[in-house]
Amino acid sequence: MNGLIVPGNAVSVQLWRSGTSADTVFEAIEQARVTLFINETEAVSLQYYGNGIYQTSTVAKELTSYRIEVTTDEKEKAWAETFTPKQNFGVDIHNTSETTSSYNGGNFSLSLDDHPDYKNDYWVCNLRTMVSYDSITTKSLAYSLYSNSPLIDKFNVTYDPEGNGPSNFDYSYFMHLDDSGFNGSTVSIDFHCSGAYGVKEENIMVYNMDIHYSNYLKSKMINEQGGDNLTEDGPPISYKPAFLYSNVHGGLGILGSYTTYTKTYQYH
Amino acid sequence: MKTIFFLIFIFLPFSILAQFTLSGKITDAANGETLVGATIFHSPTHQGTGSNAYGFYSIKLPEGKQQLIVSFVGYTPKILLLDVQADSILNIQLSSNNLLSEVTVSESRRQRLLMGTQMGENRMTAREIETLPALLGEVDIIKAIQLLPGVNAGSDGSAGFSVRGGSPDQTLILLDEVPVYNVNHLFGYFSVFNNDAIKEVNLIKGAIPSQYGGRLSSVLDVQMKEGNRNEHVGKASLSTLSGKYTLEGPIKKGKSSYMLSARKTWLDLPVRLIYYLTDNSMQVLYSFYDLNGKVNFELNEKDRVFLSFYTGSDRFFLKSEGEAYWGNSESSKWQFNWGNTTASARWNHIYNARLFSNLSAYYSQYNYHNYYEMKGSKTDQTIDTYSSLSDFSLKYDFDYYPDNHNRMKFGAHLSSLFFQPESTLVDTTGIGLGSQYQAPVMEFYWNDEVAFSDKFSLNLGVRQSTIKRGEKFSAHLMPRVSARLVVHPDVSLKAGYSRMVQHLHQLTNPSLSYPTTMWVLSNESLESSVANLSSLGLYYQHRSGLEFSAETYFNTMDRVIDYLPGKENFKIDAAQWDESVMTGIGRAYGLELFVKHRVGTYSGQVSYTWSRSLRKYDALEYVGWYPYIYDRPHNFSMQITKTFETREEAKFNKRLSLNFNYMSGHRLSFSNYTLPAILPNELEGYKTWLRDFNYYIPSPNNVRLPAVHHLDLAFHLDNKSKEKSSWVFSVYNLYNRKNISFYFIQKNKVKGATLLPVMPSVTWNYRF
Repeated sequence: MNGLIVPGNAVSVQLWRSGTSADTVFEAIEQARVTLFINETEAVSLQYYGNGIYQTSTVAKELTSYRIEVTTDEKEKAWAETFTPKQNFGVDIHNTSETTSSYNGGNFSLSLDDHPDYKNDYWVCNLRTMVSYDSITTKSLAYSLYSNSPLIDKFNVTYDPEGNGPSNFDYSYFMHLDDSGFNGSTVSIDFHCSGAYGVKEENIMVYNMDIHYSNYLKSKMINEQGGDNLTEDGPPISYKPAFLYSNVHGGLGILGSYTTYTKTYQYH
Repeated sequence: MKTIFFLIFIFLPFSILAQFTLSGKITDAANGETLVGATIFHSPTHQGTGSNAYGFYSIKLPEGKQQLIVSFVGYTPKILLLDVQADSILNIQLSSNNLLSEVTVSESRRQRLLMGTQMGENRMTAREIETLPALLGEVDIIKAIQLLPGVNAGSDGSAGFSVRGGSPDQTLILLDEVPVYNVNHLFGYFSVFNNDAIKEVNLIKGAIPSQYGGRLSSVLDVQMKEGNRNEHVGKASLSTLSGKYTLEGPIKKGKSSYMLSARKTWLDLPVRLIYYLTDNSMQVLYSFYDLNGKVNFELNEKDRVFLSFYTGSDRFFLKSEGEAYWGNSESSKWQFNWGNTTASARWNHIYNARLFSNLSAYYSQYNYHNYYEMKGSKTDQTIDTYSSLSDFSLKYDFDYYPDNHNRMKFGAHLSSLFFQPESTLVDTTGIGLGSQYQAPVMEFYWNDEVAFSDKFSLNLGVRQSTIKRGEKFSAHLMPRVSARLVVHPDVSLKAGYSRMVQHLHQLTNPSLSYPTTMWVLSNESLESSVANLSSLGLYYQHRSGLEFSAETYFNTMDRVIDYLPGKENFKIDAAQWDESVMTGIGRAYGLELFVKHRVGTYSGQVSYTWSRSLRKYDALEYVGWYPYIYDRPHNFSMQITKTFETREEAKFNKRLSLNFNYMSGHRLSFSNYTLPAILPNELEGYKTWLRDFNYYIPSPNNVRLPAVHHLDLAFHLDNKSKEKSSWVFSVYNLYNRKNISFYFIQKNKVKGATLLPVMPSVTWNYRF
């Protein structure tokens, strides 16, 4: 079971039969009974929409507990739950660069307001649109974000002695801010997006994720990094594969939730 | 009221007849070394006692002519005829005898096995360990204890071990009463204990007496030699791996002695020479060394002082010249050192014939230091990483012998533990610098072994431990009890229970004993681990020397810790280590069978253990119970030694020893499920480089690797002359079994690498 609940959107999950370790194509589950519980009260059954997707017209709200229970004829109940984060989490992003050339990249200042009562993690990434000399447009998750902030989780960091912009610490794809210790304070970090020719647009995304999806995303990235160990490049002498986080009881997968804030910068 | 009567019953002396106390020390006649656990038996009353860790004994005897039998394994028993008229001191010397038959030593073993309340105890002398076949000719006490029932080894050939389902950090490893925090050399393939510096080792894995604390599952008590008090002697050894040199002798004959022993790998020396001659652009060097020293002074009949130290270190060095890093580097250097240092001062004082004390002050430190330096054409860089654990302690222990039916131990132990998680200095940018944590620990214990009759004995004890965790104090009371019932002259039953508490935890990669093992302390958010150990045993010893034991155990553990999923590697943010671990519960149970016998020139022992070890963590609540990495249900071990009869004029005594070991395979986490991945909706349409499906590991340690087994042989040529060469020819893994030492994944399949195929070796020893 996989599902991401986003306040303001309809609730849906997707169900598959898991494959063996060699499978990368999966069989959707079509005959499941899927029930949604809101704040521990049974609310509605989800309807099948094809391709393993079960959905309801119920629109998710912030700071609410959602629990999905699944039963099939062949399997006992599987279930998972998530608590949706706050939609408005006080994000403010400024471009502090002296130039606006895509070649120099951008320096950014980010602040957000932590919620004192809930444990959510914050993730930052950059969705970049580039146009090549021959006018081919590519859209990708930028592979580096640079920052010297001590607040950022170092699990995906590499040290760049030459630095990039004002920073030496290079984070792969995402910067993860673990909520521990924020206690409702305003959190501020400065970071840098490296420059490149042809960058037309940068969408700085700030995610406010529930702890389950945050754990899942982190464990997925660890699994796919150098510490992967699932490829032949892994260092055998320290082999200890990381678990992929799952919060589905009686099954595998993730039911998570998030809210997001986006700021778009365009270069000419 | 019943309780008061019960206590009076325990503490009142059993006899009111005129009795006098005989006390003193039991030592080896040849070198003056104290003998630990030697027994003194008074035949008419069927009462006996044993010498303590410093060779001290105390026994009450009736007035008049008395006969005592003093015995110790491997020594000629002594029969003493005494006319007891007053309290008196008698120091007793025993002579060792290599050729002693099992029949003559059985009384000492009988006393320990059948009459003592201690369960799950295995004692081995350095001399016994020397007879075992050794990997690369390097005799190792940790490898020797891996052959004992209830002990599961780590990966093939490594010195990592688990006792009765506990993790490696749950064994309290003591060297001359000082905890040693990392016992591994060469990534765990050898231990830090140089056998030439060791007198004996004692493993206690059930009914742990109250004088021991701080770990959950067992105690490995290693004692260094004190040094020959009669003459200056030495030993030099050269094995395939290392060279050793030991000197010992009297400082003042019969009153004080010293022992100094050094060991160093020598394999780096030819490698250095090759590099020197060939001007190689890349150099890789590895070496380790150990240095043990001890002196002791007998100040008078009542006071004796011991000073001992150990230091040892591993060094890994890699140096390269030329372009290696982003087209920038001209040269780089990587140096990785790790090691332990221990030092202790002990003062034995005999207050009177019934009260013995030992005051100890000690220091123990473990640290690792990782230094990387790059000098480039464009820029330079250094990365300097350090982590350490220090333990300063003071303890005062008493042995009190009110009468022959009671033997009390009590004492106090104060510790101050300092722990510095990994800190890194990258050029001038620090990560985790200055993070240091301290925890004072205060402990008290009391223990009384009471013999109610010839048949029934009870050992009652309690240990109290208080630790300051951050701003909080937490106190733990640990009751200990064991009982012995003789059901037949050759058979006894024993049962025991111990509650244990552990304040220190080791976080490590269990696939191999990696040197960056980090010790962490319980703090405000992480409480100390607790265990309840229960065991039941049956012991048989025939007069012929045949010995059999069967022990079963059930251990539960609470608040054991491990890395949170996905947080196995938190080297950089180590200061927040407690956010990267999860706590859970564990249980371990098993049955251990052990047989030992000697027939003619053959002696041997066979052990079999069936055991399970499971864990369950709140953070993995959906997984439930799962097998611990050391969960190896079947463990069979057999050692046979054949002593050859030689002619009188022959130069050498000859001995052949054989060791066979079979163990169920290691546990491993491996993905056998896949499922589509899910990413935030906003990323749709963007290339992410992240896989669109996931490998899932359904539960930790879900795969068991093939069983490990090997047959090892050693042929000893022991020179009959004391001052001549001796040789040991060994073969490890005689039939070249391809046991897996470590594992890796290649094209989505688990692959195993064999590091230890058939390995012949030779060791040369020279005594002088």
